[in-house]
Amino acid sequence: MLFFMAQLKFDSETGTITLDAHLKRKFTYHARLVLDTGATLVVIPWRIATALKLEIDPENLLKITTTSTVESSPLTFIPEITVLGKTVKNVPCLVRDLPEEAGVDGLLGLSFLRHFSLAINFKRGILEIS
Amino acid sequence: MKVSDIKKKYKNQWDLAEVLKENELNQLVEVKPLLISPDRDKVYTALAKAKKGSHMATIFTGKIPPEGMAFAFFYGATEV
Repeated sequence: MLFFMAQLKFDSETGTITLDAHLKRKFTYHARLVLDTGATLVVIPWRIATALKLEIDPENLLKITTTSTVESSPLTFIPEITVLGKTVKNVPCLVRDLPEEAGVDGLLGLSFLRHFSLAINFKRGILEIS
Repeated sequence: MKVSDIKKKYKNQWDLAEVLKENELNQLVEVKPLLISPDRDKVYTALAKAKKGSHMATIFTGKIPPEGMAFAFFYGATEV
């Protein structure tokens, strides 16, 4: 069996790896997500969740530990996420706003990443996913 | 319009755009700008009106992360 490997070059000096992601439901939304291996779940903001018409159950909350507090946010599922040509269906996702100043839409956490082998070479600035 | 041209023309703005062309890594190459604003909420609100089956994107034309800012995210699920 052949495994397709995607490779992304990033600027290791910035200290942040951002990825382009397709979130698909009502329409395809092209989001900018920060790669975050410390995040259990993919995180997207409220307005994107509602624009995509994701099902938000106010009773289905998840307690999350941030660096300083424990807070609750809704848990939902994104029917399809594609990053670097890799697609995962029904990805668990937390709905939570990141500050506008961040310049990104959300986080690409382990609920997507755990489906793949991920290699990051910071010296060369190369991310490989297969 | 090429994304690189949008970033040159507009600084620190949010842009709602229709995707016209991407590369093989799903990175934006060419888009049709629909709304450009410094207010992210306005752009996200306009996104809600996207037609079914369309391919939309929001683009931030500033530096990520901004000068003087670092990301230190951690979200650990403790209970469902």
